Amino acid sequence: MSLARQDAVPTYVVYAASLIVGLMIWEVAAQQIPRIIFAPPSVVAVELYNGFASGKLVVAFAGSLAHLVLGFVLAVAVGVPLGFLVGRNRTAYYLLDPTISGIYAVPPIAFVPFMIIWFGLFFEARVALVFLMSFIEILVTVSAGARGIEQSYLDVARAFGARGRDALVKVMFPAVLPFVFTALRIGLVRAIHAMIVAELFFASANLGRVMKDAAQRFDTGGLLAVVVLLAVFGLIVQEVLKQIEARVIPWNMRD
Amino acid sequence: MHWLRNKWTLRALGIASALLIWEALGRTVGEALLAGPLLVIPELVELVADGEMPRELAGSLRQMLLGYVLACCVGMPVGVAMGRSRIFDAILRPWVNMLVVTSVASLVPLLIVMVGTGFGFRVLVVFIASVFYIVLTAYQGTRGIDPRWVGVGRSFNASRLRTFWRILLPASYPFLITGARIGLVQAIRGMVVAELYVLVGIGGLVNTAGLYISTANLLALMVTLMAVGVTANEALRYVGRRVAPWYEERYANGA
Amino acid sequence: MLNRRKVIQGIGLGLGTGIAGVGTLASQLAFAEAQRVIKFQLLGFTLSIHVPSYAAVHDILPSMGYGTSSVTRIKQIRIATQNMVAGSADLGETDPPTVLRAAEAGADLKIIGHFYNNTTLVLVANGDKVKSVEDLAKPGIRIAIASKGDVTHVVLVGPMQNRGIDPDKLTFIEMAGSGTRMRALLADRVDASLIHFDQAERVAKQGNFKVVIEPHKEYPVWVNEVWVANGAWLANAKNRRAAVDVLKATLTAFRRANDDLDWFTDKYRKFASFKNSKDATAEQLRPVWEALRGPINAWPKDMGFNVENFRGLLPAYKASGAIAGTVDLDSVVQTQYVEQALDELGG
Repeated sequence: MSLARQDAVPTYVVYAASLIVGLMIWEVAAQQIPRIIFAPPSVVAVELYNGFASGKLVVAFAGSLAHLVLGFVLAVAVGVPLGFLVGRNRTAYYLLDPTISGIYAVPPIAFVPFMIIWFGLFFEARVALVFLMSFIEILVTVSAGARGIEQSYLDVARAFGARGRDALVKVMFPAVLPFVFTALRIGLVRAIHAMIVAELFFASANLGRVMKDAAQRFDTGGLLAVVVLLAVFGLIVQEVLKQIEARVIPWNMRD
Repeated sequence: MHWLRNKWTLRALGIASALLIWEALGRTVGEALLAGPLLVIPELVELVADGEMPRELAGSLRQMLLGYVLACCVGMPVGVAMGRSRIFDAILRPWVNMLVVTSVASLVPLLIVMVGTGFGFRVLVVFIASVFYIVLTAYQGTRGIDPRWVGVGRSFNASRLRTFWRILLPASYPFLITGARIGLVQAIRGMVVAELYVLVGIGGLVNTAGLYISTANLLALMVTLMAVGVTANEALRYVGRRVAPWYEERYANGA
Repeated sequence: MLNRRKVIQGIGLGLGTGIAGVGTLASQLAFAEAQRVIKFQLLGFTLSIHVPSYAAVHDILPSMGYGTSSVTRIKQIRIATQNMVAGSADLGETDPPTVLRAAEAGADLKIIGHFYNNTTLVLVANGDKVKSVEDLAKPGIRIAIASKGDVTHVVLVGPMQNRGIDPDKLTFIEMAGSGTRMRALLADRVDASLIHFDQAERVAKQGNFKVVIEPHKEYPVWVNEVWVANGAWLANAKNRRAAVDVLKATLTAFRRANDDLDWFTDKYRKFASFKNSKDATAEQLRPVWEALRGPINAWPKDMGFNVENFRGLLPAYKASGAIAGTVDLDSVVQTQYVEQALDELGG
């Protein structure tokens, strides 16, 4: 597809090399500056190992996952159908578009004081924030996708006699699935952000609490350990979603 | 009743009904939970007249814009370069992927010990919040560029640099614009995150507003942020239409 | 399109800006020789106990030949310390535990004086929900402090332990700024708040709020806020001079505040953070003033700055988890600047 010639070295090897070189640079650079500012990867690795071995990180992670999963599942359950409706129904779209765009334009974190008033400072508030941040993203992406379905596909289907429900299942669902998967991926990334933001701005708990305690001790190693953990987690879930997508809609292979 | 199907009528109707529902809900639950528009609008007027809020907002936006422009200047070329060069891509992409899923809120304590909480800090937070999104969007756009265009350039002996400037960059305009819009949304989010943490600017005002008995002040601030976001997005959309009008038609919505 | 004209215009613009820039810099340097401006980092809420030091920074220092002080207000104590680590200001107002913790982690921070002595912080609780001190440990009771590991946290741990309450059972909510914590209590977002006693007075008038813990009665010696400087900054002789002058200004302010209610009232009107502090009268402030210069002794004539104060508090800091306990106190606490200031001031 691209004009690049076939490289002798497979891509994965270059990725790995890039990561290793990057880590080495980080290690050397961080050794030069005071630990209180930035910890090197070696220290972070030790922190991660200790955290898992002692179970502290495991417990914290599990606690964080609780509101992540609940909030995200709710957001998908409400956001996908609603996005579909808004995308396909012209009246619904124009009626709701100003409100949705308006809410999308507000930085979700600005809702934090509002959440505190409505849901308090603990679990319910965390779920609510995860829901809010991912729901909006999912809604907008799915509706954009649903709107963009090439009219030509539907016309062809109708020309072959597909009506109503048939057209829906056989043409539109497959056509909108790529966008649903994109929405799930973006929504999940936002949900992970919300997961940690909730624990930093409401009553601190789980991973957010671990981060705050590390920050209080000026323990940049511990702080970065959680950051790295979250980054790796985010990458893994995205990869998993990509794999699922590849199996469900194999004709839509993008990178 | 043809006028009812007109999209502007529908939009206006949508806004009107949203406002009505808001007011009704507000009266039902009380202004401690949800102040209705009739309370929020006078509050907003007072905030503007009083002068403090516009001042803080201007300060916030100044730093946000600087960080955002820097992110565009750095992110766009990097993304395009990644899209065209396998080596560049292989070196940078693992890091970009990891950093884009990292919540900027979790990096804030690190940034504070590095650069303090002054002007530079806020610019840096906005930069980090938006640059990776811009890079990724530019990257995805560049990869989609029809290779034949590049072939045409080559057959006319265009040097690589000229190809970059004269063919690749203009062809990537639509994606750069989309990247710019996504980046702007993230920049505004980053701005508020940093400010909710160090309690300055409009974010700081939002934090204090959360403690008033009535939610009118808080909602007024959120409406302000909404206005900022919508205006910025429309401004970029306008630019996008001027630069690449054909793009908008095929993908008429877009988040 | 780049053509020759644009290139020349560009060069001209560049040169012009460069000359203007150099000129401004030069004039600023010249000015700087004449009038040094010290960059301060102070906390966000000013109450009666803070007033003399604020007066020192804003009023007394300029009268000593310095330019108008450049002041940044930081709302959160812990962030103030982090800022000092990053070198964002010349001198900062922050608290001992966070500074000692930073020093343990390798930061080069020095405590050079008290911002004021003792403390007016009290724990005020919502009388409907908290009938006794033990109630504080009930699940769901939210206690607002500034941040864990700082004075507002540590100051509570001692009294809690004295009453046999396990500090780990308490639910702390972090809120920057005593003003914020006061309002959170009034708005029922938290059930107890660590605020200053002048704020406690106001809160008590607005509902069933009671003071449940008065830390200054439970610690023989307590240091709440200190003057902090970066060790690297102090390496420069001019900066050391500035440090001594700031301490002289602080001592002068302490002495005037102790002796002169009218002076205190005047400064309170100017600097205190309450919305209607401009209208405060001497008679209104008298009880607070008497308490501050009497039993609390917030502004001693010689500052009473001694490394032993901190040594005595180390156990409390450790017990609350604020520090690990490995800090070398004698290298962090530097008394020579106060000593020099006292020498130069006499009396």
